[in-house]
Amino acid sequence: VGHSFDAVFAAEFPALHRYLARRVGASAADDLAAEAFTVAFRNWERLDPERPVRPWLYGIAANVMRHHWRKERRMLRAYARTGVDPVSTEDEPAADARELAAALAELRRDEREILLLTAWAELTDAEIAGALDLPVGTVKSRLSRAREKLRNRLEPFGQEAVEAS
Amino acid sequence: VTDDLLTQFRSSVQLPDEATAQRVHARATDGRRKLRRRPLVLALVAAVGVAFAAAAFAGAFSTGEPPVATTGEQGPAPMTIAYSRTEGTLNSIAVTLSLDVSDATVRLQVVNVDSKEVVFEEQVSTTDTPPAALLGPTGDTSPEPNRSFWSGTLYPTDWNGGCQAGRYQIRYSSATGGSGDSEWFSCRG
Repeated sequence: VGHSFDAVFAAEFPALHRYLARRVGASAADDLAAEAFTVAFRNWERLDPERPVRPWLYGIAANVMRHHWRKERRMLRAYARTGVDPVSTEDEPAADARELAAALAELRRDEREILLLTAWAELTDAEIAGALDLPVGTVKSRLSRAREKLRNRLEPFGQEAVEAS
Repeated sequence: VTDDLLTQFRSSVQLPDEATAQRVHARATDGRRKLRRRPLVLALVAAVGVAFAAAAFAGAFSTGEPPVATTGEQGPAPMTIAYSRTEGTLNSIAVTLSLDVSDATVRLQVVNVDSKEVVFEEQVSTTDTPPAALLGPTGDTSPEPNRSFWSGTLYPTDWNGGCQAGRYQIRYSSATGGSGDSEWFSCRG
């Protein structure tokens, strides 16, 4: 990733937008990504060139998402309740998708954040720690707790394959 | 594996197209152009603010959609609103509350001015975290004593009756943080 704003935008925007769209839908993702990149652009000249850009961007996005976690939870609950996902129009969603949506909705906000940064943004524990300004140990413990909650929630529904990775 | 299930979940969500990328890039970088013009913008905002205040005081103002308020380019107001429209139709409204109390529970309503119907209502809590537009390079900043914030986006699709042609108004009220109304705005047309 180059260190001009345009180069970073070109490299990171598609994945960041998709990450946000998976959380709150494409329409809201437009606004959230614009807000995140606006903050990034305004602070571009103050960014430490030694600092990895990607975790920094996702940290900004996490701050932006902070104001939308209720909406995300509402959408997950709606999916779990109705079987119709407000976010995605998947032709053949997995049979356990509704249960997973319910389980995600029940997670604490910080646990869901870390879990989805791992699974969808594919950040490492160290990158998440940098993004959220947390110790790596805290990230690991919250991630472990989130996975355990999902496992406990999904096991009764036949998800024997669900185990800690 | 938990991550395998999660990886499949909503995996049909597509990457954004080029038009979206260009639109978002323009929105993000437009902020910088505004910042560079800040002295001029501040002068204009101050002049317009004085004119508005004088006109409102004289009772010369009735209703109408206010100009977009951009956080950081004018002094703190209890409620600032930014409309997002496509061809005249309202897509979303970004609302920011900045209240003179450390914490507040706020009732936020969207009211159809013509029918007096509350078409949307939500209870929100302000925090000491300023909205993203005011945040520092890492997205955080020092708490400001005795001031709290809430920021969120309202979508007409969430409102009873959806996006109608009538006039709407946003209201906030809090036992400790006061109350206020926006000017009215239209959702369509």
